[in-house]
Amino acid sequence: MYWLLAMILAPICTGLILYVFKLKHRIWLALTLQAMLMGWTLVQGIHFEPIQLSLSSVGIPYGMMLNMDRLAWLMLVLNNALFLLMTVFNRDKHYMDPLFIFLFLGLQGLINGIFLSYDLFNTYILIEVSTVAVSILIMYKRDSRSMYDGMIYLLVNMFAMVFFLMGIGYLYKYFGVLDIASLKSAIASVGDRQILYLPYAFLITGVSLKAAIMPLFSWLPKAHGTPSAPSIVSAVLSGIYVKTGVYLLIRIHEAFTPLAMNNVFIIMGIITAILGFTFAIAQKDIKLILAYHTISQVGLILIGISSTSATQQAGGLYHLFNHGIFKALLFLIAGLLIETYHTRNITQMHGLWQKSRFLTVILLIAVLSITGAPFFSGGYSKYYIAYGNSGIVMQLIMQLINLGTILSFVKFFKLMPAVKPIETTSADTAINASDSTHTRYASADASSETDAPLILSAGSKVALVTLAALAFISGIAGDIVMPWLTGYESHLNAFSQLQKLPNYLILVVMSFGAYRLGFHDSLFIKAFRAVDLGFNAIAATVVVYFMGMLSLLYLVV
Amino acid sequence: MQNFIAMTDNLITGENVSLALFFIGVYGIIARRNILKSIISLSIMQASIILFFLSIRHTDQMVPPIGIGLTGEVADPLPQALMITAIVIGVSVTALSLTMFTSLYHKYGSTNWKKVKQKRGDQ
Repeated sequence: MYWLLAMILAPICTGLILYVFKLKHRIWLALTLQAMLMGWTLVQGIHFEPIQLSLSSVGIPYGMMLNMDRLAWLMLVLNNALFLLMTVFNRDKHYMDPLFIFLFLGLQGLINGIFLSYDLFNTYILIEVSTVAVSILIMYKRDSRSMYDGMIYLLVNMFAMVFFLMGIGYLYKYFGVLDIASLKSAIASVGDRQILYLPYAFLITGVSLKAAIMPLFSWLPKAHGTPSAPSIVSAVLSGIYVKTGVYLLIRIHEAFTPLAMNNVFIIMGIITAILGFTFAIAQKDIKLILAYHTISQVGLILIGISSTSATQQAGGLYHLFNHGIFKALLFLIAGLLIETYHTRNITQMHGLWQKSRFLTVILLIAVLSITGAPFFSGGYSKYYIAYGNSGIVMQLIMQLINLGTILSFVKFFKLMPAVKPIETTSADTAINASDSTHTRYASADASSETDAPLILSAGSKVALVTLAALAFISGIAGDIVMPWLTGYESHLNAFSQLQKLPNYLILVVMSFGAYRLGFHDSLFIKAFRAVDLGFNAIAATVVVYFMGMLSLLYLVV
Repeated sequence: MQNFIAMTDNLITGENVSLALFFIGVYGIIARRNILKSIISLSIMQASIILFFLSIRHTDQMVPPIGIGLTGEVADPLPQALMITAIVIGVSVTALSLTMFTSLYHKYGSTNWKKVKQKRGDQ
């Protein structure tokens, strides 16, 4: 029972103790705690039953309660797994000082709290505090750019959360309750639907910005792709933190079922997915590609969870989990690549196979997962998001999203293969071409310092292998993992996934062809590269989104 | 004249004033390029929400929910408890934004969003 409280308080208190007393073996203590939390969460999954813990003597409409249902449990598994593996990965980095550990563990506890808390006001408080922690973490390396990125992130998120709080105020005005179950029954019995419009529009504006739905996405690449954030912070942000918005969206739509906004959000999911990968194709910065790609994948998750069919909803949730795993893996690899090549430009990275065969294999697994290859996790959940779409239009859209995803990851495929050594000048050296000491790599920037092989610490290897194994197992054994995580009985086993292979290969060939033809450098794509909204413009999009949502509710629904 | 006073009395309620303040804050955030003014606008919005929470479900005759043996209708204590938390959060967020603004100003030497963005792009 009190484990639920420990999920929130234990990381925060431990972080504080480690910060105040500056213990020598602090990383090991943090790891022990995280492993315990992870272990408890996994044990709950053996025979899952919902747990509720009342935090005050007063009953639920007025008191506070922690609630762990199936959805919250899934999010807890993802959150605690990611934070544990991130600490393992970064065990011996120099910036793991007491302050960083305090903020990092604190963020873990706060995110756990967002998933566990049962009323909207507590959620608001936890989101605000976690935003503060995140904004300090993303400027942790004090790079010159980071101040601007951190400032934009903090103010934009605060601005959106003020809308969220206003929505809570209206709900309290009309119904006098704030917990989700009471709200749900109160809203279901409401006579005049029009009073729901204003609180819904306020709430959904705040939540949509948190989930980076179009057009409220501009802050995300700045926060997730900023050079100053350590790669584990980017991994956590993209892996789990952006999902808090998606989680709240599910909760709010659960409460506001009479409004039936499903179709609106399916369309917005499609727009988000398509624009997200278009922006990703336009980028050359490795972290920005991944950050924009997160937006695209959020769109895909949104298509799944907004659907009315249980299959597609389960697919969306499973994709949420899988995306957390493989996106975290990709961000960790991106951090290693930036360290190895001393550049963030992906077109200047070549021949990873020669530097580290281990990392190449891991990267290949991650890229195959995210592009939706059969036998890998991304493909498995994408299949269920598209499941039962009878219309030809919807199927084409799903194929288009897959194609765009692969196209934006062609650059990742390209950096993997070993670069062919080319002869230096004359025919004389061509004879000695087999002598590797006389050859140089084809890449222009392959200077002597970048030729050094990549050396990984044991902790990093363990974390990378675990994440890659998770990405692979959730695909190949999806018919075991998916029912366990989402409670939905899926029947797509490894053999039937084989049928998806031709489709995937065709898409890969098509995207390599499009890449060859220079689609990623076309004027259309270049226009996207130039888009960089300032603070006032982002705030204006928030207000436009709010107004649009309100007029949509009054005029259309 | 009597009518006018009665009308304004009905119009100027805590709720309406808080909504007006809210959108003044929204205007400040969208239209002002000064970073300091953005932070101030955010504070105005937070203050408007505190006023909003305290004035919903409230009538003139209500007594504060403090002490024992209260007579008459008691004001709802929950929004007041919520708003104390919101004030704490608001203060800490404002303090953090101002701290960040100070170091941002030291780094870029400007209080203007547009100029700061240009300088960031140069590096």
